[in-house]
Amino acid sequence: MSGLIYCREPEVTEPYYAKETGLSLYSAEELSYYIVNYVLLLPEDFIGERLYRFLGHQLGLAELEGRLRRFMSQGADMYQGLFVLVSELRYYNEEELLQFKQKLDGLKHAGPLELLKQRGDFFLDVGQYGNAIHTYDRILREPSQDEKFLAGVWHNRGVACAQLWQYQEAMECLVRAWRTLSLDSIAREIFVLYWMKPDLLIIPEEVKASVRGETQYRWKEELDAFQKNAAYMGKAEEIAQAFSKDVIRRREAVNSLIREWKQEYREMAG
Amino acid sequence: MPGLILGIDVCDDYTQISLFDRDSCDAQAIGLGEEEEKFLIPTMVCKKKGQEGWLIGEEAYRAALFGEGSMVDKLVKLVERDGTATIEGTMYTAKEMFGTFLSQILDIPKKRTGCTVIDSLVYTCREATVKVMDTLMEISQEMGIDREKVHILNHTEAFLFFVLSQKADIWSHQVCAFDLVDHGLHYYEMNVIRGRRPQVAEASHEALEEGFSLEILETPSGEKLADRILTSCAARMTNKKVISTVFLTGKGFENPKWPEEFLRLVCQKRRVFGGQNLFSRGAAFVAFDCLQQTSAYPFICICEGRIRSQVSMEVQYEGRTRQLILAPAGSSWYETRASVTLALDGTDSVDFQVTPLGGKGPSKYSIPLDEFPKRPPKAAKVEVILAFTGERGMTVRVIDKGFGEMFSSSGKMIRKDFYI
Repeated sequence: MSGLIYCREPEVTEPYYAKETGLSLYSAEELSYYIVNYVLLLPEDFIGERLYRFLGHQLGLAELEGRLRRFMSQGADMYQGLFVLVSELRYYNEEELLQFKQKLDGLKHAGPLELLKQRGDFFLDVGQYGNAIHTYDRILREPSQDEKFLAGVWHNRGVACAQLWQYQEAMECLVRAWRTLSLDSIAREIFVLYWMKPDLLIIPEEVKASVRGETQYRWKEELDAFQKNAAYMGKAEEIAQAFSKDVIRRREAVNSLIREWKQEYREMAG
Repeated sequence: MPGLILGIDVCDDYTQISLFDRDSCDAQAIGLGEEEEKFLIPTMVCKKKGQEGWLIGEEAYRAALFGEGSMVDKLVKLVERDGTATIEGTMYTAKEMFGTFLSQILDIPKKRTGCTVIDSLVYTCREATVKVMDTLMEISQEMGIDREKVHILNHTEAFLFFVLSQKADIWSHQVCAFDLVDHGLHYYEMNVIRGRRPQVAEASHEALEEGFSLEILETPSGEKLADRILTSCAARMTNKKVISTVFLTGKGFENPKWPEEFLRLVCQKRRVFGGQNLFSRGAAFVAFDCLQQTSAYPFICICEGRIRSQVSMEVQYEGRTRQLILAPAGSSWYETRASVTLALDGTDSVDFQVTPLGGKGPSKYSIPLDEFPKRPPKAAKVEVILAFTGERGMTVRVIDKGFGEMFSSSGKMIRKDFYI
């Protein structure tokens, strides 16, 4: 099967503005992709007049607009409506639609806090750490919940804080998660965090005691190896590539990288 | 009032105009003067001494002959060479003079019909080179004619369409044409290959080495020599071929009775037509066809100036795998351009299929997109622009379009040239 999808490009004069993310959508393909990938962020009134108008007037899909209107007026919920819409836009194949359906079913049966956690996890996945922390805080403000669920939230909050260089807060969150879950993977993260800022952080004795010295030594070696390789990967590689260009192109490439990183930071910090 | 439908044959020596008549569905040649017979207009301009205006055709020739102005001829070659001419201390470019000439040429049908709007205009040149085609397009646009209304054919294409516009019994077998002009003898041949859907109409052109200057026709002995040359050419070119019709055209056949031996040979069990406006009429027929929603020529036309292969790509559309044709076989390479927007779904290349007409199976061509930023599946769009630099030269540009505001475009473009 070809990996190329033919796109109709209607002249969209008024894109669909998604308030929840601040993104404007200009085509049926973008709308499909947005729904499937940002479903956790969609507000309950996502399927409404604005969307109908966008489908009918901007994308020239008046028939789909009519079908969706009728479907929703018959009492269908938002998730059912989203599935119908994505299926009819035909950007995703059957297998992908099945996965999307399962995702929607999961969301439909999830409680409000579970939904919030999934939203926080989504922000974490897409690198919007500020938004992730904000979402996790909303969960943590809620009274008495399942301990394990809360520990999961603390852990992910700790990861988000670490990404924003809030090391002390990150350590605090990870330790709280470890105290409930006692997982080696979390202990490893605590150690790694400590080794990144040994002059600033302290590993609680109980965590230290839970991990054998030999294991600690192996983790340290792994971190050292990773840090060595990091000089040739990701951002370091990007900057090396920019500096390998000639004088004129180098300036352009570095400026473009800085612009990109600034934008990335703004999104990270939320 | 409907606009004019014109076919103009622009050659280095003569230019001819054919005006398509919607009522009779036929094209007729029109000349510079009131005398309808004089439809061979010398392709030349003359600037009258001390005056601003320019003369064209016979008038230009006459003025230059009487020393009333400076004449510039062989305008097509001059354009090709990007030449200039300095008259009374002012330098004029080939394009300027060619533009002046064409502008006055277009005034002829306008004055004759009283209609100033052009609905469709097709130029035909012996060998339509890129330089000449670009210049014709630019001049037409400068004269206020939309690019979409202007098309350019070479003589082989014009001959092909002229023949296909005739009754089917004319082209029941092979059809050939002898074009005898000042600078040589040209042989054209066309054939409709039946038994295929759509039918394939194939044409070819050969500039024969045995050409002679038309000046030798001025004496009886010269005529005899020319007749012998023509006869030997015709014998060679038509040998063992089933030819239903022969056309004789060009200045050399203005009086078609002189080559007796040649005529005896070509007239054997064939229909022979003589006339001067074959190419311009062919162009006028195409000009009319361009205005129709469905072409009256349901053929794949294969000849010089046309692509011999179909270029397509396999895409997903509305959930199905389809073959998207970017350039159909038989389309003019100069006019064929395609632009499509595609979303990338886990692929890191854009692949094409080039299927030669009736020959071997399809060949695959691929453009790797390594230079583009890596993005998740279905979150990248590219614009693919295909154009031709010749019958076999294909240029493909792939532009990273990003994916809306979710993934902005890197602005990168990959260009690749293929010989198909």
